[in-house]
Amino acid sequence: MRKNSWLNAKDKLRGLAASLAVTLTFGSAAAHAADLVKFYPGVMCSSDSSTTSDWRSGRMNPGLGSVDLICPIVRERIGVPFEAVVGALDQHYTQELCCSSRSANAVSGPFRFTANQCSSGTNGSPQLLVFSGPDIVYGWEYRWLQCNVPAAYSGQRSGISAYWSVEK
Amino acid sequence: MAPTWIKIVPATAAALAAVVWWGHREPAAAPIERPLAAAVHHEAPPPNQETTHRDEELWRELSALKGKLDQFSVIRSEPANALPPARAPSPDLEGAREAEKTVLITLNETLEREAVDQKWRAEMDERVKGFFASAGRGTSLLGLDCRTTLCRANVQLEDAEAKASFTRRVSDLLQKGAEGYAYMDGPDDLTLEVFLTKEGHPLPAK
Repeated sequence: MRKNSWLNAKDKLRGLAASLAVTLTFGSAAAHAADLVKFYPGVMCSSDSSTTSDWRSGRMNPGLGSVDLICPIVRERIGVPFEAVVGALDQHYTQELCCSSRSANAVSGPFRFTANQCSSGTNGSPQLLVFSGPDIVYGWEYRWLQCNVPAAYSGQRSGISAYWSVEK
Repeated sequence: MAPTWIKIVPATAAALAAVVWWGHREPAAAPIERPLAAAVHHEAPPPNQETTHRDEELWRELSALKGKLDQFSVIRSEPANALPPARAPSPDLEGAREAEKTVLITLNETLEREAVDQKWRAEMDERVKGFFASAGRGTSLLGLDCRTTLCRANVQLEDAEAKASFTRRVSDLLQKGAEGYAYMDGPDDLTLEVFLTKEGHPLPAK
């Protein structure tokens, strides 16, 4: 009887730890059932500059200068709250990896943009950069994430490992 | 009273007759689907003197099924483009241009209605001018008007390269949690109207 209650307590602790892990992983970007969530591998980001692609680490910058990445998002809904999250792998000791969320319509002229969100410090694991908006009001608008990735530092590359979008 | 054999003999005879009739009757014919003329393979049944009527029916059924199978094979081997093509809607480009002009008018009207928040204006003045000081070749700030929650910066770009560089970096103009809108008449327009909101103030929806 005492053993059973001890096991129950252990199970509860495990459940609590699992919940905590999920909360920490997804943070404020936790999605609800009705949300339209799409996950993208970092290799979907493209660049005019020389980059490398790897299924695990994503789109990386092997060069000595920073590079700009454009990470497309397939939009399905308009007029709904929008969030995006970037898994930013920043291994540069002084520079940060910064991204903004953007949208434009098919005329390829005007565009909307958010402020930059930047990584903080150096980390061998991706840091999550969370974006809200911009709103989309016109049916032919499309979205992307615009990122600036610092140069490689002592052979350690930075880049985008993955990103995802949530249309509420 | 009649003897017992008078009752037994007719009953036995009737039972025997029934058994004989049951053994020689035609089997209940299952409904056979009439094969399409083109689908039937005109293969003759193997010559056999003992071939019964039932065997012939079964042979016809088999031929019909083979014919249908051949039809399915033909359908599957047809190229996918034989199907009518799905028609994608074409973008309403004129509607999109009009929508952007409406956004521009709304933003300008909103700006004109706002009073001036001197503190925020000074903050943004420093921020925007600092950005243009380090913006590099071919990027000029023609004018800056900041009110309470919205700024408008008129920007002149020398060429497409300067424009590309500016649009990549334009998010640096914003305070954290703010939004921006860059208006241009088209991809070749080098004169931009850039609107910047205050932190926590999203752009007007339309």
